[in-house]
Amino acid sequence: MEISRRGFLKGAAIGVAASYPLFFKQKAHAGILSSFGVPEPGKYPEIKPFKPKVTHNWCEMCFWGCGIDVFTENGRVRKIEGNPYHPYNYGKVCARGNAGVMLLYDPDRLKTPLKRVGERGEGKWEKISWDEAISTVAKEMTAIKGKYGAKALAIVPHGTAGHAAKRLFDAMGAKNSAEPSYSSCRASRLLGWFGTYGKDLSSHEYYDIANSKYILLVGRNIAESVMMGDAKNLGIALSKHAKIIYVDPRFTKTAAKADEWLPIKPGTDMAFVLALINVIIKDALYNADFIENYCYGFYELREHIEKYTPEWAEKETDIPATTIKKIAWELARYAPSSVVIPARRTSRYGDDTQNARAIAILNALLGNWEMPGGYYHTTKIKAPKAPLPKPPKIRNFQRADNCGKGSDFPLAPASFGRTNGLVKAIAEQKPYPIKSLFVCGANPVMNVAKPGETLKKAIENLDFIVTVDVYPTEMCLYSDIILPASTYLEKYGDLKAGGAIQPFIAYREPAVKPLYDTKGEWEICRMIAKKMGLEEYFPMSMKEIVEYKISKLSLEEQKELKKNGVIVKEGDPYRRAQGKKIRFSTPTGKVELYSTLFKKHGYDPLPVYSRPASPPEGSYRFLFGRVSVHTHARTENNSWLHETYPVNKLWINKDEAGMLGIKNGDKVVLVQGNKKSPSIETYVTSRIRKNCVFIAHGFGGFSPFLTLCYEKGVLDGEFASEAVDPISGAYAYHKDSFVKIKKA
Amino acid sequence: MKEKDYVMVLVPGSCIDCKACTVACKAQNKVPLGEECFRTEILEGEKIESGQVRGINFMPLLCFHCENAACITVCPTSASYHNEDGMVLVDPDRCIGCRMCMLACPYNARYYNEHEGVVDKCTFCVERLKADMKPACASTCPTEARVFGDLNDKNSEVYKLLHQKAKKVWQPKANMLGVKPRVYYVEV
Repeated sequence: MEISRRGFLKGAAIGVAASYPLFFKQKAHAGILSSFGVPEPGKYPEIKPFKPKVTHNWCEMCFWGCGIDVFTENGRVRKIEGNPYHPYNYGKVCARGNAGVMLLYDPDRLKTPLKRVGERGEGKWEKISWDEAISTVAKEMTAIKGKYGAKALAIVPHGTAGHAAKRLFDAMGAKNSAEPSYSSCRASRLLGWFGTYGKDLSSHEYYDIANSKYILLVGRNIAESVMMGDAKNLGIALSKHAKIIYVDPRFTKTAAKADEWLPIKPGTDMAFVLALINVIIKDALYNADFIENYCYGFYELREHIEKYTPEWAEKETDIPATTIKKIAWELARYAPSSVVIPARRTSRYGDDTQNARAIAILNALLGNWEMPGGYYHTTKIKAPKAPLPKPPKIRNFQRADNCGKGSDFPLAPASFGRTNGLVKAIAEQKPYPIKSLFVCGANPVMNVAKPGETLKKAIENLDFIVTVDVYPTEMCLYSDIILPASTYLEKYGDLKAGGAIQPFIAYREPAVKPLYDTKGEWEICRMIAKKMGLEEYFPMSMKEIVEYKISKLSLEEQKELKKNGVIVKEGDPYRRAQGKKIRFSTPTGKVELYSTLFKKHGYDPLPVYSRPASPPEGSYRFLFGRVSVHTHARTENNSWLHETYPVNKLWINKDEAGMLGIKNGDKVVLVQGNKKSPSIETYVTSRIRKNCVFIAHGFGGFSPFLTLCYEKGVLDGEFASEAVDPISGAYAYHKDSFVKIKKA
Repeated sequence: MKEKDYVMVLVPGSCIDCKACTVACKAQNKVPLGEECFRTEILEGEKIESGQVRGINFMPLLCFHCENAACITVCPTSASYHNEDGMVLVDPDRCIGCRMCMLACPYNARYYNEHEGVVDKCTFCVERLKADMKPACASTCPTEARVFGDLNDKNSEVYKLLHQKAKKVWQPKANMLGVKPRVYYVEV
């Protein structure tokens, strides 16, 4: 029998461990073995101290931007470590951040510019030179611009990679730009918060859970949708025994850390929050002083909320009325160091903006604004500016994505754009023809709803598609020209100014030279601009920009930046606690419990609940979400992360599975209308409530060039809904999105 | 008494099973790919009551660096040894890959490196300790579920955790086997 596998030992080791030491005595054997050439005991190799070369950077394995120190040995990146000074992560990096090494050394990366030679989607490419690639892009886009106007050129940018591309398109006068992070993720929470506080709750969230005594997480899976700053603060909260209540249909890793898990009926979060508001107002548990001085519309709210009793909410949410009352009292007891936190991705049920509003209102009643343990004030800081000319202003640009002033979604910021609106516009070629798409740092195939229908149609309508990426993604399969980008470890990055509890300016320098014939996005866009006669907008290389900006810092700051990789200033997080007067950027200058902005635009000024449709008999609500070790659809091919979480499984409640005759590990398919998923393994568990099923996002990719994650698992987008939130215009992926489960 | 008394104190109550430690270890120690190739991992235990999940415990696991190490006792070539600080290490030049140590280890802390034909394990990142750096796992752990330090230093966090903050301290199987591990679990 071969004893080689650790898996076998897992079971066996404990049983035999006690008996083996009796049979072997090391000293007795040493003499015999030395005659076979084995060295004498006592002389062991000297272990040298770990002294790598350190370069400063910020992580781009996700979009949080943790400060990192990159350790190289003999010109090779060996280890990535958190920057101990950086206020986003204070020396910590997650599994993904640590695995940045394997993004750099992934053999599947794009290595040269490519030109499509087969049909779109076929993945037949030919290597071309940068010169040919850039000339083709410039020629095609100029031709389309000439024929249809600049508005026929669309762009989907994401992350710092997208900034350069957006600048290029701004210079061309092409404003049809849409970032997936808005419609697919954070839009509704952003607007819900904006309507209440006049300030959005975007990334990076400013809740102060390190100092909270009571934390209510309404669908915020803080341990799995993990950002290091958050996780660190969660660790502090746990060590201080803050009470944590977690609301989610699934028992996630966050639930594992919470004191209570409330398995809510999917889509009914707002009913739960409104009932909490009801109790807090009825039992006079609110912060009267904060409401008096800082809030607008309390009486309207009081009247509005009367019907949303805990008993009513119990029927909607499956959370007992007594639990709701208890939580409301506990929130009030620990206020202002109690905090209610909305989910990060709020593209869910179509009532998400109002749901975020309800949560914002609840926090206002607790008076936790700019108080320790509540929501803190983020101090702003600006990096010096480089002499780059501003792109021309375009007045009265009619956007295609139905976003911003004059559109159906007037509050949706045009600076983000709506990807769902843009894809629809291209698919329908309405309100006007869009003929070219430039994708930079994104992979719409993996994040839009119904990619096989709407996006496919859109792609058919496009004359020219360019993708700039590190990986040969699914989007690359449909692209005519593919431009390979350098990873964040191989390029300079613009100084990054940001604000957490402390404001900071961070610095990115390359740890190694590009491994392949790749370039940074700024340099790629600069080359295109030059070919199109727009070089005035890209007068400097990224390295020159960074050097110029650093030269404008004080000598002390320059020293700090070079030494620590980040300049950190003191923040002013608890202004209200210090008795400072604050003003809110809402129309009334107050926290708007009753939103005058929403009223003006014809939306409910106070959140109104409507019951989501229940799954039809035999169907399940289709849910998806994050796991700790993957970012969107970007990291599934990373070998270290792949081996940690290689494929998504279908979570299904064990009682439901029992009724379907499905056992844990069985292969099943998801069915929706005529659509059938590839087969997927089940995870039969009591960690998910009945009537819904769940898969992790980011899987089901079909680019054969991503050899590790090719055809692993099921792509969630195909079964997600294309419905929208009527205020933010973001996706409502789970609205009326139901599936049947059949044995494969 | 040794000059340094290095220990790892694990706080399972703070662990969120984010796997940062596992991946950091892979990078630092060039641990090969493979499901069974790891120097540290996180075990998961479900609490089930009347068929419903009531809790999940996460338990970080690594080499316990036992003072009475069964792996050292059984090693026929003296490849496993204690270094001057008491850490259990493997000399790859002496290891013949017999895997006896893997059977002897009560904590399943070792794995077989097929590429090199030797057994490998956690070293408390000894090369980092020599450069005054914490082990990679403890250094990256966002929730401070892994705390590393010198127990001889009364100001160290490990000393405070074990002697002041801990409500409960335990070392699995330690009493039964008398192995005297350098790894502690605490509840604070």
